[in-house]
Amino acid sequence: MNNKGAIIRNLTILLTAIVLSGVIASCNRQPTGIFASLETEIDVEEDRGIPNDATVTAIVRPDGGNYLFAAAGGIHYREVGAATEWTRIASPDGSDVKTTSAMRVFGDTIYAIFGREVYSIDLDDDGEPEGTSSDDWQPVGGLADDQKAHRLFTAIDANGDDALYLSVSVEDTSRYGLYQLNDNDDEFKPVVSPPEGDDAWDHVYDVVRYQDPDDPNEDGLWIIAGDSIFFVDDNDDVDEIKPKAQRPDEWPSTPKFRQAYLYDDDGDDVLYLAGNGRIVRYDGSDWQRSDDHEVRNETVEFRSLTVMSIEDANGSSYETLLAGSRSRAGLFEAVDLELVNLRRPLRPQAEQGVGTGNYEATALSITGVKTFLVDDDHDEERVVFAGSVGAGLWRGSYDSELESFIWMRE
Amino acid sequence: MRRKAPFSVSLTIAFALALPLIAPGGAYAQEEGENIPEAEREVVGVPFYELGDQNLMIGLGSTTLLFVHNPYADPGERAQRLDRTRIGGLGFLRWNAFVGENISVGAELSGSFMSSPNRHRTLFQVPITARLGYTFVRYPFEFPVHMGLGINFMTLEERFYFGPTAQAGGGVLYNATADWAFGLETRYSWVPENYTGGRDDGPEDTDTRFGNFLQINLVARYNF
Repeated sequence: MNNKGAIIRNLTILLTAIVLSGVIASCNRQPTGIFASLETEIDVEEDRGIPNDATVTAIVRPDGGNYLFAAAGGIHYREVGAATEWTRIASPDGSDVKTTSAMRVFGDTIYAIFGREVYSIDLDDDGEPEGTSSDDWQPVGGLADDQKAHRLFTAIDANGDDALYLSVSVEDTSRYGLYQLNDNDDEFKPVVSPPEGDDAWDHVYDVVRYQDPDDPNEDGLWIIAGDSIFFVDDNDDVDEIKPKAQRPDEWPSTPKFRQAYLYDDDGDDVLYLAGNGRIVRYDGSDWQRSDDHEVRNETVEFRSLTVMSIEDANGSSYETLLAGSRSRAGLFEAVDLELVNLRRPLRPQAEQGVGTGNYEATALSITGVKTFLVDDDHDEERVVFAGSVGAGLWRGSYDSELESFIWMRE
Repeated sequence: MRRKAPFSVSLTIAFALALPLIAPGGAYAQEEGENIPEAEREVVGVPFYELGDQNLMIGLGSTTLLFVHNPYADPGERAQRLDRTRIGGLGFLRWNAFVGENISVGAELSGSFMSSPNRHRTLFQVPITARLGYTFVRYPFEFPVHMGLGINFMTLEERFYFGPTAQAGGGVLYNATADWAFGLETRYSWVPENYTGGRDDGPEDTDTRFGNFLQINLVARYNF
């Protein structure tokens, strides 16, 4: 045999060994096979017009209203109905920034922040915007020239009425203050001017009125400011604030609290906070927290919360807490409201077949979720909307048989 | 529950064991044809290839998942197409050596990617295969058919799997020069993903699937 033949034979023996090793050793340490996972990925077809790459900062359905409003780049709205599509309201002429950073519907008016300012459009008797062109927006005044609008919140004010609050910052500083829409609904007035010194808020992520059972004489607003929680007492001067005293020692050093959620537990308010790695629960006497959560060795930064009632296959209902993360960790579900544990929601087993839906396979599983809205009467169905970071708006309904959410793109 | 190795595994082993027997078998070098230009070989009845002739082939093309076979599904529902089949990319480098005037053996390294139905995940595959081929020559055209067996590395998100793979295909090549040929090749690729359910940290045996891919490539071949 010549040299070429010998080389070919030796190489063939080597290849044979490779083939045999492939046959003998095959492995996958994940709980689901690769093709089985691909099989369960549903084809997302429904699309009502929200851009698929939009970051959704707010989704609102006014009480008793027939319209949904979403802040997804611009302001979008649609009627609550089976086949309705979203309509975009043109951004205001007066702002250089054409995308909105925050939106709320308060009374009969939409308020949205474009750039530095707050703009508004009134709703008609049916709850539909009176106009959709850029010159239909009206600026809402009240801020000084060196102040910038940041976020909008709805909460109960000192008189027990619904109120619209606005966080503002002073230009070129990290000092934040809190303003409230006046009685004429045409201007914001200061509740707390941007504080200075040690009590300065480095941000205002949420505002909530929480009656602390431990301090029955205190009534006021809790200001969720990232690593701290501040309290604004209704009885104090407007500029007097103080750190909330109940901060447990065992909290992480940088909890970075963002959204607060008030849950009505048989008449008692329970406060939930989304933070770095954990969800924190306060029932007026005890602070509890979930386990520390990591995905791919990175702390899950929880940024949004909601509680939703779910009906199981036996027809009985229970309430579950959904938590959205900032980054690519996806959505989590609390096993119970005591926050003993959080887990990623169950998904259908692969053998349940194609087209049944797969929570993990949709874009939601790998993106952040900034906001939720639970709509108990959406076409006679209870649904939850999830506003993502860069992956559009999703509508989820719970399938009792599959014990999983089925998500559709809006 | 542990299950017997499927028939596919047995076939893979049988072919792999047979390869060394084929490789050294070409002891009939056609030395009398070495000085005849390739373009004239067929005319004068001299074999186009002979023992030791080698070439390298590079290919670029597409891959698509035709269907996934689920042996645990109900009869009639075992071949499932994905809701939306995505077309992915493929590239390969293949070495061939002739052990006779038509029969060749070789090896191939290839790589492919394909998006999942919602485009949010990507399936990557890197098969390394031993090749057995037969080439029909009708100068200046050639019609090679081939099959391959080897190992396949496959990832999807955090999932990683390696196991056997089998391929079969054919194509047409045009000899543009004495050294270079260009053409089109298509092949069927079969990717078993077999689980026994015996590992605590692995998938259940019911996740066993057999992927079936169709791949179409533009190819260029260099003879040396």
